[in-house]
Amino acid sequence: MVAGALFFAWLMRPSKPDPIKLDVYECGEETVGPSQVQFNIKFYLAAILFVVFDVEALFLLPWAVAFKDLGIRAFIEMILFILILFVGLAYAWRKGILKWA
Amino acid sequence: MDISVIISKLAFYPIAAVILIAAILVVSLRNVFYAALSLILCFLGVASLYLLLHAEFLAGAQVLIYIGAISVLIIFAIMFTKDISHQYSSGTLLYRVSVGFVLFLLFLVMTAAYLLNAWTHAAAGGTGVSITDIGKMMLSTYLLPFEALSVLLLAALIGALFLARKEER
Amino acid sequence: MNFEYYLWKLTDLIAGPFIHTQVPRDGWTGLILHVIFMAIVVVIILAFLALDAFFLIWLERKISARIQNRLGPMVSGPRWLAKFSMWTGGIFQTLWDTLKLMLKEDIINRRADRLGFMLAPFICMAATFMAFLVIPFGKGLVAQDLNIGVLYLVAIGSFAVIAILTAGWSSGSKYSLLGGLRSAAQIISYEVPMIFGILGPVMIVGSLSLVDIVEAQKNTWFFVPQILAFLVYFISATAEINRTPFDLPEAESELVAGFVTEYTGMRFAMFFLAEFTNMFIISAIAVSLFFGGWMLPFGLEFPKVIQLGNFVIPYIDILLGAVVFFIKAYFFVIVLMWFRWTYPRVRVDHLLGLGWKVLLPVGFLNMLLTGIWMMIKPRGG
Repeated sequence: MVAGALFFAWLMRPSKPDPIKLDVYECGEETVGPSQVQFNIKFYLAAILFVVFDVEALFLLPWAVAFKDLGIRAFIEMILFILILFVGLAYAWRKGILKWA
Repeated sequence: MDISVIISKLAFYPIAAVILIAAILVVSLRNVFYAALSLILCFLGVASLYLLLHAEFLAGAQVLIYIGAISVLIIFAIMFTKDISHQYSSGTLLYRVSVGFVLFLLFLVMTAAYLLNAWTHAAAGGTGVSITDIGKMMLSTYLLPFEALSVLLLAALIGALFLARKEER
Repeated sequence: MNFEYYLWKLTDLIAGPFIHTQVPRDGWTGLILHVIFMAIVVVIILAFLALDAFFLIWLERKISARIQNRLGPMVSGPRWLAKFSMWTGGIFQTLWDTLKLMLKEDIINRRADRLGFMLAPFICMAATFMAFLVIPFGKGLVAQDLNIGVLYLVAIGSFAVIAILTAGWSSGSKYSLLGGLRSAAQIISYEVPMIFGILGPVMIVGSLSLVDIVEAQKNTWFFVPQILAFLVYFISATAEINRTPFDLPEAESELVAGFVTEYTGMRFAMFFLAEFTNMFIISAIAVSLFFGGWMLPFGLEFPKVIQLGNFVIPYIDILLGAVVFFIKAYFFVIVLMWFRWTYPRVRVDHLLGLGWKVLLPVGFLNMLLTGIWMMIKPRGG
């Protein structure tokens, strides 16, 4: 069905390229410089933070599934695990990594 | 033979081929962004192998961490580095030789590990290890490595943030 | 008596494969049955995906119109329906819009990277489509009840990030690149809180399977004990799919249209379709995790069969269950639309902060409370 729709679209649609049409959209202005520009490093720092916390979240899932069979000790151990990682979050917070600008 | 065994045997070869081709593309493509996309395909292949072995949790973990986090970080790094996506560099001769040497050592270690271990063959029906078992073992038998892991992750996080912020200045 | 027997047989034949998803998998017959079953499921999901998106786009336009005291699309569709009320006007609008998009020229700009540009919409569609595999629409109405259900859903979300980054990178436009980057940063910032939100129900049930989680809510829907988790989940999920008030990646005033700026025609339509389908998916997950899925509240149940004189209509509980599920899911979709036309956009400097500084600690707190509550009252849930 999707393939059919795509084929139909390919069959029916016009194709009349011209240099202005093929230009990058910038409200009709000429593009200045390369498209790859330097970005706010904040995004990259957030991505680093995310990788670590994603690993943490992954470990939480089997723990949550087994939670009923585990005792209070395992609960405290998991809290400890998370709190240790929250030190990292606190560091990032303190250093203003989560702040814009 | 059981039908599911035949299917998993048949499915193994195309998946393995995809993994190998994707892995070769990762190191041979000149466009870094395409190399990153090939790496994702490679990870996806590995996740499929885990699925064939009925290790669903591992497959999910593979996709979540390696594709969802690490590959994304790699793509971020590519985007943040000016024009890296069209550059190609393989370093100096000394660099290449030393990398080759390390890889050779790694190969030896892995071969030794393969030959010296008595592998137990998991049946096509899976190992029977459930997610609950993983959770229980994580917090009992392997508690110490698990808690050590959090310290390791913390160190990695603070180190990475520190280095990245140094770059910023 | 014979007639009734054949009616049963016929419904079994048609509905059977959907009700008993665990088709026998041993032997060639089992395999062929399974392949046929999966093919039917794929066709149904695709058809539903298209219809659902058509309906949702129309609905969004109608709701925005109602909120802004307009009529919205009224022309395309039967005129007598449009005369009836604003809610029945323009029902074919999205259909004609889609046809128009199909007939539009497909422009790939000069600076674009062709392969990446063409690949991105397909990755995006695939990610959206794959999520349907584990959503239980009704009792037994699930394509594949994976034991890692929730983890699968979160993991599938990874492909959306990859698609968005690929689209942004390969468009060769600054708006696209910046939009893609913002979008990706936003999605990953809210993914961890979202997992924390999901954790509460998983802890109570002790399973990642959505079917298990729904069935555990027979008496109490989980939003009662897990109201915090629900809020964390719903806010994070709204950010995950870039909906207003978290639509900064597509902030028209700053970034034109974000990572879809350079897309035209069918390729644009694919992103658009995925966006609206994602709304349905996160609502469906919210319903499954916190609002009892296909079940009625207070442990009420539908009758299994309805007797009409000599006729017996079977599977009525499953059918009505699915209706209940869709009512609940569309309710949350409407809430999402209501958000969009009510709230202003979150400021860009709050983008990272809200997820990490507010939602994550709240999610952690909920996890703590759930744990303590379960320790004190082990039989609860």
